[in-house]
Amino acid sequence: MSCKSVSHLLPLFDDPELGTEDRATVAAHVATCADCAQELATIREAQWQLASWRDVQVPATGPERVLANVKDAHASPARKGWRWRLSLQLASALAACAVVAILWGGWPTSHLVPSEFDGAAQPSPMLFMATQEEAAQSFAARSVALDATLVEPMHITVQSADPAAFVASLVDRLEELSPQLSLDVRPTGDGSFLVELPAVTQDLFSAVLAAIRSSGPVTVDANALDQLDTVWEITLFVEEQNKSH
Amino acid sequence: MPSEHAETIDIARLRARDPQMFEAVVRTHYDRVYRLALRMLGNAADAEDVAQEAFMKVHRSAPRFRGDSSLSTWIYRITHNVCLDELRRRKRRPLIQGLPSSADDAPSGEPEDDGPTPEEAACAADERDRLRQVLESLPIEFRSVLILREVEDLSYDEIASVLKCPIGTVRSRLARARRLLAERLQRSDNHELQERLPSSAAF
Repeated sequence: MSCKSVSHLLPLFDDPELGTEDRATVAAHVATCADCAQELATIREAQWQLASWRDVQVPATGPERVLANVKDAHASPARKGWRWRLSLQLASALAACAVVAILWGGWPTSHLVPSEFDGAAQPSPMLFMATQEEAAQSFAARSVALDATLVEPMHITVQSADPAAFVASLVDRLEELSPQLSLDVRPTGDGSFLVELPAVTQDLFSAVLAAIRSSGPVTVDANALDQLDTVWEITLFVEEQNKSH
Repeated sequence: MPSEHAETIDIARLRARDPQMFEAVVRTHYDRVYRLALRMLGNAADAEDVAQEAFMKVHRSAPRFRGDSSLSTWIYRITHNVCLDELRRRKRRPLIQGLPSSADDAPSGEPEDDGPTPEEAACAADERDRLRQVLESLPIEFRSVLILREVEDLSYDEIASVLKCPIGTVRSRLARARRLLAERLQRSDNHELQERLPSSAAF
């Protein structure tokens, strides 16, 4: 058995998830190969060091702060500091579809370009690809009961030449668009904004993305999107274009 | 991962936003949420903020928690995502990365237990600093998987569920991450040794 053929298993040697056969293979190899035995020892040492990170001094007041904050948020769901919370009504989902249709000249769905965490560095100009089939699926998704859905976080980075103007324009558009959409906007203190939309259903999701796109010349980058029976918790990070590069 | 309080959490009541149940969740899970945030972000102040935000999200999303994954996996996932948000934000505020490393393990000035001598403590602190520096030099995907495994002690299954990736990805990522961590720790060890022995380094 060559070093190469066990190299992908070696670092997993101490994991119970490694099958007995694989473990036996690694053990047999390590018994006869000093280099790999040495490497295993180094890996174990690193694991051991990291395990020492389990000990943490947790701030004793942490849970109390959480509970107080939640109570606060409940007590005053309206304006809180530099924060807008908008509760908006829309006549029907049909209207949302109409807006979307106007914005897009067709029914869009929402295949965002998948990105790595650092993918903001390469904003892709091609944002959406829609097909009729996807549109049909998107409509079907609406029939899924809210409490039968998954809540998925969706992280989107928007680069805009003027983040503040972009956010203002976005708020206007979402106002036109949204059935019971609640929206938090927070400046991060360096000219960027965090916009949170906590409960967006799949069909509305497409419309929200369209609104984002039509709120200014921006590049949008987001993680992949593949589930229809999902409620999205969208976090939008709006930053100045090219600020980080 | 299941905690000793896990069976006292009634999911139906949590979904109904029963304050008592939410409180039980906070008390049961706070330590782990805080620890994950601390290890992902490297400083206590950010970790506390992230823990706050994560629990706000847990509270807000509770009615839609379906129970496909375990409660703690779900909470880990939310926390991990808030950590990623924070790291993203931090990229815009590079100053924060210059925080003194000692900000790490001393959130509220609690007294250290009086086990190790000052020298031993300094040595251990050095080691922790070095570990953190090395860990921060790894790609974020590697850092996540290492922390979820070695610090949080999650199974491959649970990690896959937290990171929303296939189990095979967890496996291969973990193998690569461990190897890379070991290599870089060793390199930093050697580097330090050379610094301590200036005569050998000078020529």
